[in-house]
Amino acid sequence: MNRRNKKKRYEFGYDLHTQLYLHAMLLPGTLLIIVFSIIPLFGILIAFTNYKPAMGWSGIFTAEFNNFRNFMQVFRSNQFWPMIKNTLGINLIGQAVIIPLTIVFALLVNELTSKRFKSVVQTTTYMPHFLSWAIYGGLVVTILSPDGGLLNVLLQKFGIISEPISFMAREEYFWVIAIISGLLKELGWGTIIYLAAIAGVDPEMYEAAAIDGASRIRRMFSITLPSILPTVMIMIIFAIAGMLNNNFTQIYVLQNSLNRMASQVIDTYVYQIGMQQFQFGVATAANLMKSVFALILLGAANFTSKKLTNTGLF
Amino acid sequence: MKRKKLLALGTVVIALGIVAAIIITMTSKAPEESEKYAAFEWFLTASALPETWDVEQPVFRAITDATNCTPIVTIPATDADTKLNLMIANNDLPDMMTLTNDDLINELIEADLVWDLGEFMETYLPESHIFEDFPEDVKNEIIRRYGSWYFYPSHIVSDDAAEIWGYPEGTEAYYEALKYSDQFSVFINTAYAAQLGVDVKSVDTEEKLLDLMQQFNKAGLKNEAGADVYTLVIPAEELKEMNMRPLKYQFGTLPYNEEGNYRSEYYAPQYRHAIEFLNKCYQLGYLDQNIMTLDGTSTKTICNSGRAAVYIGGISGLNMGHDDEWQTPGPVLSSAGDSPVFPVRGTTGVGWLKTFISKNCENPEEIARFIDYMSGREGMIVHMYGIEGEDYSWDDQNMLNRTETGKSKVEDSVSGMFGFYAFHHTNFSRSVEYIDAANASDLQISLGSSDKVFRYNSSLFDLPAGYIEAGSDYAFIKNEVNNYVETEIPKLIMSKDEETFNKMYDSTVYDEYVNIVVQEAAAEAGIDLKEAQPGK
Amino acid sequence: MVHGKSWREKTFDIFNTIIMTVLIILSVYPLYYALINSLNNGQDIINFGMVLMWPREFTLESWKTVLGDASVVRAIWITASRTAIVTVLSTFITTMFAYAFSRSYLRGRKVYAALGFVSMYVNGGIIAFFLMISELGLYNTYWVYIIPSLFGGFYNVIIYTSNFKAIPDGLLESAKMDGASEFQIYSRLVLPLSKPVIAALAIFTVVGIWNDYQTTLFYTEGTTLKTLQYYIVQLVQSANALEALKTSSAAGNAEIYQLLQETAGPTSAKTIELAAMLIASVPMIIIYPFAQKHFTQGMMIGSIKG
Repeated sequence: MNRRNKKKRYEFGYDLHTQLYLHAMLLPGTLLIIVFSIIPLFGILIAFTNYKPAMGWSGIFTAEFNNFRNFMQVFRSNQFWPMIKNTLGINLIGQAVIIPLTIVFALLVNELTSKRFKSVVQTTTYMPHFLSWAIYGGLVVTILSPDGGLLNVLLQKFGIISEPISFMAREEYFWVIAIISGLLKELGWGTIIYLAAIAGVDPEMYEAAAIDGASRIRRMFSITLPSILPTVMIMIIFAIAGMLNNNFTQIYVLQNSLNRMASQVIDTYVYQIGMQQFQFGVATAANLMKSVFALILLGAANFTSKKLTNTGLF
Repeated sequence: MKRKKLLALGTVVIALGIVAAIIITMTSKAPEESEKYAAFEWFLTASALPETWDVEQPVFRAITDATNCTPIVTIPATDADTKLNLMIANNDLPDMMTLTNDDLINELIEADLVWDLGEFMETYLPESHIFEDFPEDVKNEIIRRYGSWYFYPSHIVSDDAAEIWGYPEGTEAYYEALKYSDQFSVFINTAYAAQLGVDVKSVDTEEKLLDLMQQFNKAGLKNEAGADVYTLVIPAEELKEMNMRPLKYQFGTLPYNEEGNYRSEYYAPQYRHAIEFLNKCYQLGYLDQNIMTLDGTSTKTICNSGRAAVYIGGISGLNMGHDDEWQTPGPVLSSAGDSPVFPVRGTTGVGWLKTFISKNCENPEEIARFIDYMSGREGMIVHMYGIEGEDYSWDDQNMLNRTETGKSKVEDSVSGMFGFYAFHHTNFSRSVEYIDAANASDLQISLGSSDKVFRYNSSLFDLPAGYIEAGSDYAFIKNEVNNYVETEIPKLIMSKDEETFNKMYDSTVYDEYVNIVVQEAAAEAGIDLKEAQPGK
Repeated sequence: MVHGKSWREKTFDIFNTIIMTVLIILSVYPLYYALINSLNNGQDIINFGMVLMWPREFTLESWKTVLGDASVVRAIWITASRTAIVTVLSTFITTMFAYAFSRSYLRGRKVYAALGFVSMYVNGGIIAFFLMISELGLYNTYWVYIIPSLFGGFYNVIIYTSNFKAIPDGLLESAKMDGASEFQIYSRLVLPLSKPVIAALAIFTVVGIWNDYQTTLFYTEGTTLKTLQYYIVQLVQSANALEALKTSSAAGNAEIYQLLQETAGPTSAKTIELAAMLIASVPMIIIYPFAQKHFTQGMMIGSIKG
């Protein structure tokens, strides 16, 4: 049976007529990609030279090669290793926490029986996403303050601690603060993509399972989860590829002079040298390195995902 | 049916959009109507000017009538320096630019993209008053630091300018003292000091200050709302700059050693003493760990709501309207016996905003006329004070007094009044406005005029602009040292005991580079660092 | 036929409801916090800190400042039209691209994939992009808001592709047999079946475009073509700059200090920022429920996934 279908599919679609159609459909998007993303790639040259904007745009090609000095500037800093450690730490642990929780939340929302309550939940939980980190971060710091901040007050009331803890002053708390604040802010928003995937699951499958006597929880685990697995894997792959990126504003707002060793990440460092001194070369070099890494991670993640779950990006 | 609805909706949306686009592209040609006036592009990185040059407003109309210009003002919302860089890369500089960032300025100068102001005015308006009343000392300083007279500085204040414009009766002494003032010091909350029966002015040594803090600590003060009062508050956000500054000067840190060689202040024993002082405060419980995590706004809030007894930092950490709550005792003598120092600019400052003219500008005559007007007496009165009779009036001592209308227009972002920071002239405003020296805020701490203080010439230690090139190794190291210091000082302050402190301080390593570079520069300029001090 | 709920299911429901309620409070409070502070006197906040429950000194000044300027209307118009156009067109172009890309029989797929991933992760930097915009004559025109954004990004392509692939081949094959062209399959079958994911990504697009201010900042003169978000950033920045001037002038210029002291108003940079942020978010918060309707279950017709 399979072989017959396969044979059919081989002929099907490979004809010139279909191909032309397909490529025509690809054309507008491809043109846009080429014009706005591929051609400007010549800007990467800035990472390798002593380019200054005063050289004009031809200067990008004619500025002299500077022996990878821009790249070295990134490594030379005594903040280099702490910065890598912090970036990876916050992202790895963060994603390991956030992705499962987001999925669980999406599943739970899906299981709500009252349609109106479900609607209220969906409409409210995505609200923090719209607040800027400048505001949300300020709120976080206020709540964590040892000087009458809500969290300390509550912990003391319930007798868990006797003295207020200065959370923002301690390096060891920073990663946790960054991760949890990020989670609470984006939880609702992050479920959108999963809810859309869940909505695509065939309702007849649920009915069939119900007839066979499966409980709601059972149905959740055996039907919903496996059905949205491709979406989940894609989000995981993207998360892995984005391992070196942080939300700059979030970190910037939560950083202070005491927790700096735990809060300096690649993006904040690049902003410091890039923006503060117009070191376009160094900033471009750092971004280039991040890009290369991201692509490598992407490939590796995709490969693993295909082996394990048979789904991947390409 | 549904698809048809969607299709219809989509078409309507797109149609609306296209109409919008057409309207917008058409109306964005608005500036054409000012064709009878010359329009030039004016790019500013900081200002309070409204963006549309509304000729209906009297201030704008007066300027346009006198100069025949209607500048097209661009003030980017943020990242202005990056935006200008993009324009540089595209070879499309604005005609006139008002900038603050030295790196950017150097870029422009090095690439020879801006006029020398003197040459420009000579070419296009040789009869300009600027050749008469632009102060020589400022001009020379600009040339010394930037190579040539490239820009018009804002907030001009200098000895020569003071001679040109003069001072009102009785204020000269005040303004002289202002030269020696600094906005950073030790501040004590008057009310709480009074509660303990202590006269703030008497707290003039380190021991007395520590003593006072001990008293505050024991007294268990509370503010009006019943919240606890912190004994000592310091601005933790910019420790190096804001907090260490008053202490390092009060305790006598000099940028050169006994042999007269430049030495980075971090190596000075007095600087170490300053940090030790803070460490002591921390160990004795006067300085709470929480203070070290706050940002500038929170620190300000604490000070303004009466929750701080002693504050060491800059005035900008307190808020206006609260001056009378604080007093400074004047110089606080270090227990190590070193006399306090005060950096004095032996030469003059070069203003805050710097206005440049691009070599490719299109209407040079108009720009010349504009600058001439805005920097001259008539123009300055108009853009800083408004229209006579309506916004201000002259009194019988030839002093200018603003009316209520005038006051309300300041910074209202519509009238343009007081918004032309680039052309603010401090000496000029001082010459026409009467200030009651007695009422002026006591917080203008005239640290440098006390005779207990050793004044040194700080401008000798200024490197010429651009000496440390952005992106050079020096710049990189400087950045690293700054970052390092920012992280280390808090740790030093919070060391648990003397031993840990000493260990940490001794192992703290600062790079020698600055020593070398400044000594090089001084040698090149032929200056003997130790000899050239104004001294006591 | 679903039987009555077991007690296990009932506890699950209660448990679920509690968690949801907690999350609702955690999500709504920050917005409420922003609201009450934007309605509070700015000087009061500087003196006593942010309010937590209810405004200490109520004032509408901050909101008036943001909405008072006539140019806000134009900014809203520009932003709204831009968002609508780009969302519709880019959804169309991107889904079309993704559909073709998802066909396993597409020749040269790897080339498109390479182009796509490179465009996603490698970036030529702001200078190169700016020069491109300038060369195309888009600088400081309304079109700079539209044309570069017409392709929704390869990220979206991946998500669409994965969804399109999940549509059973049998469905598409039978349509082909009936003589439908690829484009017709795309528009009449695939698109309607993918409503949830299209709605989701459309929302992302809308929010992204609505909040963008960098295009205005770097690729226009910033005077006549302001978007709402840019207008807000500008407002906040100038309020900040004014405050910085007030504090720094305290030392150097006693005259200015006194003058500005007399003219200080009931707003502060912070309250203006909050008011502006809320105003900018309101449209998004209103639109979301409409898109949310499309996340409801199963629009699939026909066969069970094989």
